[in-house]
Amino acid sequence: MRALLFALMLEILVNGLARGAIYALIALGYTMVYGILGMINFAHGEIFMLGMFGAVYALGALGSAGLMAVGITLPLAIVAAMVFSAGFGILNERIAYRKLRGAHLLAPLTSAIGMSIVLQNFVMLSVTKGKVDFPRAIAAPLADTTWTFGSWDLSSIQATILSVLPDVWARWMASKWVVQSVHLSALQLLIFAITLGLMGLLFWLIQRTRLGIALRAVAQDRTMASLCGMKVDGLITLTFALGSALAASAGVMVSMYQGVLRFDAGYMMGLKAFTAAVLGGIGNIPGAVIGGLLIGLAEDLTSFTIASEWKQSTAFAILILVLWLRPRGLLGERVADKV
Amino acid sequence: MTLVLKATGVTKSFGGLKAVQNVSIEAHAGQVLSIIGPNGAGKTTFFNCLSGIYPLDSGTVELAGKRINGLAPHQVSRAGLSRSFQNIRLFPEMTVLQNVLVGRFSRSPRQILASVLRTRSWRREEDKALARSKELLEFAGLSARAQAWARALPYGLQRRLEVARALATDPKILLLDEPGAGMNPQEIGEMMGLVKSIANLGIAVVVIEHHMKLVMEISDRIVVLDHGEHLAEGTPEEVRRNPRVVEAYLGRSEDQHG
Amino acid sequence: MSKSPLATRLAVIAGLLVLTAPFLWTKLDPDFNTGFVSLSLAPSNAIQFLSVVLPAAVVGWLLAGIGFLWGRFGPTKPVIATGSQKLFESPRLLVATCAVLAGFGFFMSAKFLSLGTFVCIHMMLAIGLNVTIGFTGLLVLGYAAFYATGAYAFALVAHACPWFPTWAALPVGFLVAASTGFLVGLPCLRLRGDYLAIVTLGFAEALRELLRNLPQTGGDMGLLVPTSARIQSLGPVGQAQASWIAAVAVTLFVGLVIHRLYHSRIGRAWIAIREDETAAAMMGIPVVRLKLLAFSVSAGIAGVPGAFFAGFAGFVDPSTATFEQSVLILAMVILGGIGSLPGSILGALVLYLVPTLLRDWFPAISDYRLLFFGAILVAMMLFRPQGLCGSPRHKLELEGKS
Repeated sequence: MRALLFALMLEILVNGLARGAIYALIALGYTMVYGILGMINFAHGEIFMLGMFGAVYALGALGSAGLMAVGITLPLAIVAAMVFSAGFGILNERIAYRKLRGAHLLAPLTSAIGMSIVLQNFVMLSVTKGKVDFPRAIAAPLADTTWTFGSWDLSSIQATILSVLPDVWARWMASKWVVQSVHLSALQLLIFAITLGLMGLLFWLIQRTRLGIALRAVAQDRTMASLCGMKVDGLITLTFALGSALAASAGVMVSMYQGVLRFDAGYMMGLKAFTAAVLGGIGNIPGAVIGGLLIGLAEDLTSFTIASEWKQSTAFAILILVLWLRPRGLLGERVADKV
Repeated sequence: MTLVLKATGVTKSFGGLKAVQNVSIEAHAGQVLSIIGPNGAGKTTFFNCLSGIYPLDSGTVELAGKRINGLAPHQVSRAGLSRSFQNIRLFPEMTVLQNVLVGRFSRSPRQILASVLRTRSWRREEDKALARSKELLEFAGLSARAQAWARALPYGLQRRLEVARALATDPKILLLDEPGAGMNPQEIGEMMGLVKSIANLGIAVVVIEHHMKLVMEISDRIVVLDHGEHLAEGTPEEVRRNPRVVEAYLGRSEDQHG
Repeated sequence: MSKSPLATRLAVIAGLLVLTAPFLWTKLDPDFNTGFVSLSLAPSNAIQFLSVVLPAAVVGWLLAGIGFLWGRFGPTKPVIATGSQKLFESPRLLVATCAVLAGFGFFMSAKFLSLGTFVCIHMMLAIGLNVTIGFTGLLVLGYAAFYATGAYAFALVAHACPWFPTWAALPVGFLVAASTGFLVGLPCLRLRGDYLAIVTLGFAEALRELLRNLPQTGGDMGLLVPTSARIQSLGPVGQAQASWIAAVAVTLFVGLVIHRLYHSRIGRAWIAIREDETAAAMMGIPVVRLKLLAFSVSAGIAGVPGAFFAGFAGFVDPSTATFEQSVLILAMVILGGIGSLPGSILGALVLYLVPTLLRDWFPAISDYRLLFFGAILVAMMLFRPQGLCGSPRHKLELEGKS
C-alpha cells in the first residue's frame, strides 16, 4: 500500500512538475513586466503561442535547407523561437504600452488586450484555423524515450478498497487508480533541464550583473532611476524581450509535449500562468517559479482525483482562492499606495 | 477651546525605517496647528496615519472623543476628518463643481432607487447638495470657474479647489498638506486668508508647510518633527526661539526658505 | 527619446514586416512519412490576407480623416452627446421616441426587425459594460458570461415553472446576473483594477466549462426555451414586431436608468473612483462597496438582454459566453467612448450592423471580424482614447471656458 501511494505521488509529481515548470517560465514574463511597469501584460499568452509557431517555422526553414539532425535543429529552433517572440514582445511594448505609460491604467490594459486579439487572429488567418503538427521526427526521439520505474500489483489493494468503501466511492476510485509504475520521458527531463538552465540564467542576470541592478532600480522607482542616468525605455523594452523569450522556450516544449499547436493555445496558457504569477506574488520572481510548480501539481491532482474535464477550472478556482485569502500571493509583499 | 483631535503616541514604520515615532498632537476647534520639519521628517506619513490611509503600528487617534484609528479612510472622513494632498489629487475629468459635489457624498442620504425614480425628496437633496457646493466655491473664490474642468484650472486654483472639496465633507478637522507649495507670494497671501477663514468657521486646521512666513503668521501653535520624532512644540514665538529647532531645522534650511 | 518619432515609427513598421513575414509569405509543408517539415514560399497566403486587411485599413484611415475634419470644421457642440442628454432628461421625448421607433416595426420586414432586435440587445450590453469600464474605470474581459447567466437563468426557470410569464424574464435575468457579478467581484474588487479583468476572463471560461459539462444545462447543445415562455404575437402585432417593440422599450428603459444613476450621487462617486481612488475614499466614499455596486449593476444589466435573448430566440447555448462575444461588447464601448452613454449606443449600432450587413457581400468578413475588433481597441487607445462620442463632460468644459 505504501509503495503504491509512493508511486502515485511520484507519477503526479513528475507530470505536475513538468507542467508546472512550463507555467513558471511563462509566469516569469508576467511577473517581470508587472514588477517594472506595474501592469499586467495581457498579450503575453499570445507571445507564448507565437514562440510555438516560430519554432516550427524555424524547423521548416532548417528542413528546407537540408538540416535534419535533431541535436542541431532543435537547439537552433528554440533559439530562433526565443528571438522571434522577443521581437513580438518588443513590438507589443512599443505599440500597446509605450505611448500609454502615463495614461489611466485602463488604456494600456485595453490596448494590450487588443494586441492579444490581433496577434491571435493574425495567426489564425495567415496560418490555419486548425492545428499544426509539431514535426514528429524532432519530438518523437525525446517523447518516446521513457524510463519506467517499479511495478506494483494493484489487484489485491483494489479488492481491499472495494470491500471497505461504499459502493459508489469504490467504483470511482477503482476507475481512477490504474497506475502501476512511474514513467519519466526524456522530454520531461529536457523540460526540467531547460527550465532550470534558463531560470538560473535569469537569476544570475538579475542578481549579479549591472544590468540586473539597473532593472531592479527601474522597478523600484522609475523617475529616480532615470535621474541616475539609466535608460528606462531601453530597460523596459529589455524586460519585455526577456519575458517573451522565456515564454517562447516554454512554447517550444509544450508543442513537443502535445505534438500539436494551435493559434488559440496562448489563451488558456496565459490565464494559468497569470494565476501562477499571482499565486507566487505578482512582481516577485522566485514567487512566479513556485506558483507555476504549484499550479502544475494542483492541475495534475485534479485531473487525477476528480476528472480531467474540470482541469481548466482548477486554475480559476485557485486564482479566486488566492485573491480571497492572500491577495499578495505566497511571497509578495504589501505595497502601500504612494500618497 | 474645544479639543477636536487627540493623537497619542502615533508610531509607523516601513520595514526598518521608523517614519513616525511616538508623535502626539492635540488640535482645537478654530485654531491652526502647523507641523513643520525638514524633508523626510515624516509629516506626510503622519497625515496618512491620521486619515486612515496607513494603519498605525501603535498609538491612538481620537476625533471628538471617539477613536478613529483602525477605521478605513472613508469612515475617517465620515467621522469628520478631511484632508488635502501634497501632490494635488483632484478628479481631473470632472468639473470644478462636480469635484465639490463628490465631497457631499457622505453628507447626503443613500437613495439609489430614488435617484432612478427622481422622486421629490431626491430632487430636494440634490438641490441642497448643489447649493452647499456652490456656497463652498464662493467661499474658496472659485465661483467663476464652477463649470470648468478641474484639470484645466491653473495650479493655484487647483490647490484652492482641493480645499473646497475637503470642506464639502463638513469636517470638524481639516488637514492641509503643503497648501502653499509651488505658489507665488500673492497666491500664498490668498491661501493664508483662506486658511484663517476656515479656522474662523470653528474648524480645527492642521497644516504641513515649509513656507516659514506662512507658518509663523497663521499658526496658533506649531509642532516640529525631525526624523519622525516630536522635537518641539509651542507658539510660533516659542518655536522660533527654541535652540533645538534652530539646529535641526531652521539652521539647515535657512538658505531655501529664509 | 533620442530617436525621432518618424525613425521609431519606421523601425516599428519594419519590425512588423519582418516578424510577420514567415506567416504571410511562406507555407509549412509537413512530410508525414519522415515526420519532418519544410518551408516553401507561398505568396497566395499573403495576397489573400492583405486583400482584406489593406482595403479595410484604407477605409479606416479615410473614416479617421473624416472624423478629424468633422472635429476641425464640424459643429463645436457635440451633437450626439447633447441629443442624448435631451432625450433622457425629458420623459415626454423619450416616450415619443419609443413610440416612433416602435411604429417603424409595422413597416419593416421580419428579417430587418430581427436585426434591429439584436442591435438593441447589444446596445444594452454595451450600456451595461460601460458602467464598470467607463464610469468606474475597471476593465471587465468576460462580460459575456453575465449575458449567458441571464439567458440560462431564464431558460432554466422557464423549464422549471412553465406558467412563468415572459415579461418576468427581465427581472429574473437582472437579479441572477447581478448576484453572480456580486460573488465574482467580491474577492477581487478590493484589489487593483487589473485583477478584475483576469478574474472575469477566467470566470467566463469556467462558466462555459460548467455549462457544457452539467447535465441540467444541456451540454454543447444548450437548452430550448418552452414556447409558452417565448415572446409571442399579440393580436395584430406579429412576433417579430412584438420583439422589436419590447426590445426598443427595454433598451430605452435601461438607458434611462443608467443616465439617471450617472447623474446622481452614486454616478459621481463612481467617476471619482475612476479618477483617483485614494482621494475618493478621503471624500467619504466607500470605494470597495461602490465598485461592487457598479460591477453588480453592470453584470445585472447584461442579464436583461440575456433573458431577452432567451425569450426572443427560443434557445440558449454556451456560445453566448464566448470570448468573442465579450470582445465584441468591449469594442463597442471603446469605439463609442469610455464613459459615454450615447457612445455605447452608437458603438453597438456600428459594430453590430457593419459586420452583419457586410457579411452578405463579403462572407470572409466573419473570419476577420475579431481581428478588426482587436485593431479597433489598439487604435482607439492610441489615437482617440475618448472614443467617437467623447464624453458628455466635454460640453461642460466648452461652456466653462466661454
